[in-house]
Amino acid sequence: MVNLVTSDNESFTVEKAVASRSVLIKNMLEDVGESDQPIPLPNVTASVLKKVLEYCDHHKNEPMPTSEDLAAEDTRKRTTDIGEWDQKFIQVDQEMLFEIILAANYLDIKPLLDVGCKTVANMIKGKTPEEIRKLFNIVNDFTPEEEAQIKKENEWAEDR
Amino acid sequence: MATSPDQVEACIQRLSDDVLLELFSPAYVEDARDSIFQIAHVCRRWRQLIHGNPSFWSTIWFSPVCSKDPTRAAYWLERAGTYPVSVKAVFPSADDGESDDQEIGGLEESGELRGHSASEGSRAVREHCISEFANVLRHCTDRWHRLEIEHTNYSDLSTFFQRFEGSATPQLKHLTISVGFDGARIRPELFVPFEHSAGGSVSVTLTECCIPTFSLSFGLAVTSLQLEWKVGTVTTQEFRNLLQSCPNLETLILKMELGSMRDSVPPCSAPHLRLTTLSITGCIPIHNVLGLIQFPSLQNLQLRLFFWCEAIALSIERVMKSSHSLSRISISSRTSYHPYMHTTPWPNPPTITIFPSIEVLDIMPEAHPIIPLLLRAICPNLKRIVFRSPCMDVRVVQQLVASAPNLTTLVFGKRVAPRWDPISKPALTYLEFSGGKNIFDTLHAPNLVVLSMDDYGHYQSPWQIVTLRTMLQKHSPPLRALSLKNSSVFNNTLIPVLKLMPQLEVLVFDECSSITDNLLHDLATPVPESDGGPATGTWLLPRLREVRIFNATCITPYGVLAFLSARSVPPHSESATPTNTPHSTPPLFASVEGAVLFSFEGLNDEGIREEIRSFGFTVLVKEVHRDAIKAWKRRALLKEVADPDEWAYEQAAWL
Repeated sequence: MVNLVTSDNESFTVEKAVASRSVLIKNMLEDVGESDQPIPLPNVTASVLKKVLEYCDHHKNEPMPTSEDLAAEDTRKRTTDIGEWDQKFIQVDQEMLFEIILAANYLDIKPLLDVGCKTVANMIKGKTPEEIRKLFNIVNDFTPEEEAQIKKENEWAEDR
Repeated sequence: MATSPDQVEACIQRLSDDVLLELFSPAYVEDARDSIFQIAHVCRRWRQLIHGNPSFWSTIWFSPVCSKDPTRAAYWLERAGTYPVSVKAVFPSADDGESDDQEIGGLEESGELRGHSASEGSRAVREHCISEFANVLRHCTDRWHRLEIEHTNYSDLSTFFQRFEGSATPQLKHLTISVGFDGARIRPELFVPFEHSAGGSVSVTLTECCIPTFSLSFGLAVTSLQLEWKVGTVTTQEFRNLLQSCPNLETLILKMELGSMRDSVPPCSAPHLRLTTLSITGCIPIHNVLGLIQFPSLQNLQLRLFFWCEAIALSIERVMKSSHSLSRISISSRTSYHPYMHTTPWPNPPTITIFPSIEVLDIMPEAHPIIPLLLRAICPNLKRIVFRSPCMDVRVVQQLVASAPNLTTLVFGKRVAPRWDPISKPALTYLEFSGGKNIFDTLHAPNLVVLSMDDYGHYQSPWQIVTLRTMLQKHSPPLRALSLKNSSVFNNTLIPVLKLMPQLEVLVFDECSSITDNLLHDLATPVPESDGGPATGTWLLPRLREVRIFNATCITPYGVLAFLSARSVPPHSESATPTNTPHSTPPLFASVEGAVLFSFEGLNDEGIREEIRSFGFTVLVKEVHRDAIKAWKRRALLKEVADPDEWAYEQAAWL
């Protein structure tokens, strides 16, 4: 078993197979060897780690993606399809969604990062910039020069 | 988690640049032309990320007849920097009216259209747009990685290519040209003007195109060539010239649904090619192609969807005799009545020919024209024989099997299975056959791992199982996968046979009408101590991990559910006793996976299907999951053991 401690000082004891879905933790465990020492995760809160561990537990029996898999993923056309269980898992509010993406990136859990990115990509798909801004509450901070260039690009897009 | 809008914004903008770029990638791949702009128009940071990353601009889709596309192409290429680019040019037909009125007005004002009729004017505008677009692309041919031209016609293509005469394309790996199908059999000439560096490797795919002419250096770089026509007419001379211009060709794929290859002049000399793979599909006269070329390096020969004639059989024999590296032969003809079915005499005297390089022979559904050749063939290094032909001469099978000590895979089609003299095949790991009720009386396969039996034509007498039991008792092969099709075997006959397969991992029942829920019950009940089967406290098949059931009349959803429920906990547990009560908690034990297609769908409503699915098991419904049913039925029994169709699937993927 592995003991993980979050930024808000909560402790999680999990199977090694579950924790090792994170390449970061897996490497730490390999470096440290057998030890009872808790592993601090200063960039992850308890509520987010709980969700991440739920994902890791569900996928613990699946083979870890190899570097060849990841390279193949990069070269072939990626789709925005997400598995059924993963879809249900990622149905969270926006803040949690981005926290999961941040945690997956920090903990180096590529498949989870992939699920998060695909979810956001699906949210963006088919939306106008204004709709995307509204969806994520992003401020339009373009300069007048940039606005002019954007207008020109929009004419190209409309011309299609 | 309550979230204010500001917090949400802070959160998405907290993502690092790398994560944001990762996040944009799938959206980008969906439709780069639109998504890339949509994302870049959201805020300054996103715009800077998109514009600062050349990979987003490395794939370019354009319509060369749209007057604004040259400007757009220049803008796009500028952002791609020095990144290798993939260019996709889609030519709409002249009727689509893509050339805009504004453009025509502009050319009229400049006097360029003076003296032209309306249609000539429209054509001139189109040519002008294509030339402008080509001028932009011409400055970056050194960065082309892929060029795809879709739905073009010869006139547009000629205008486009004229601008690239002498242009170097040192990084080009793929050239794809698809001409709009117009039903014409005779097509004008096509010259591919690019120049390529020595030692390059280009894959060329041409659809509905004439036989092209390549520049000298480009022809030297072509290593893979695919020509595809719905209707085509080419001459052997044109084809020969093409092959001569590509002396480094390694893969040649020809597909023609209708048409012909005419003999214009007899070939004066046959080019020697480095060709390792030759695939011909459709009505192209195979013997004309095979007769044109010498194939000293050929390794893979695939011939599909053709009608047999004696000339084809003779040309295959010539290739087999002259290609000393030929290791895989796959022949799949069209089915037709043939007058010399079953009449091939045994060669007298039997002049045996040895083909030492051949490792795979896959012939279906008809084979009789090459039976005379196969009757004289000895292939000592054969590893796979796949004869699904219903008319294969049993003497051929017997001879090839007997002369191949390293045979690992053997597949017989219907009515083929021979009755041969006792023979031992210690290397055989995969056996699939139809009929052949007494095969195990004489075929000894002590290391068999995968067995697939189709009791086709013997519905009332499951002889295969009876002889299999005898073989298992004698040789105890380490069987890990068993598939039974069209078998009328009953539970009480099958159970003792399964007991002799303690290593079985995969079990398939396809159209087996006599097995019942009781068989599944026995597979989910720990073996009693006195039974003498596997070790006490384990299952009858302790390693079973996958079950596939298709149209087994007497298997019900309740039987499957009880089986999955019981197999989802360890056999030594109290709760291992099978029960009809659905399991409410997720499986804790390495459970059995697989799929079921029930014969009578009226028996199972969506509720019970869902319960079965909750165990990770797939429930197929005939009217809904047609593709999935095909995929499950075609799925390899054991991935790691040679699948006889592996090559066929590989080929299908790239054909």
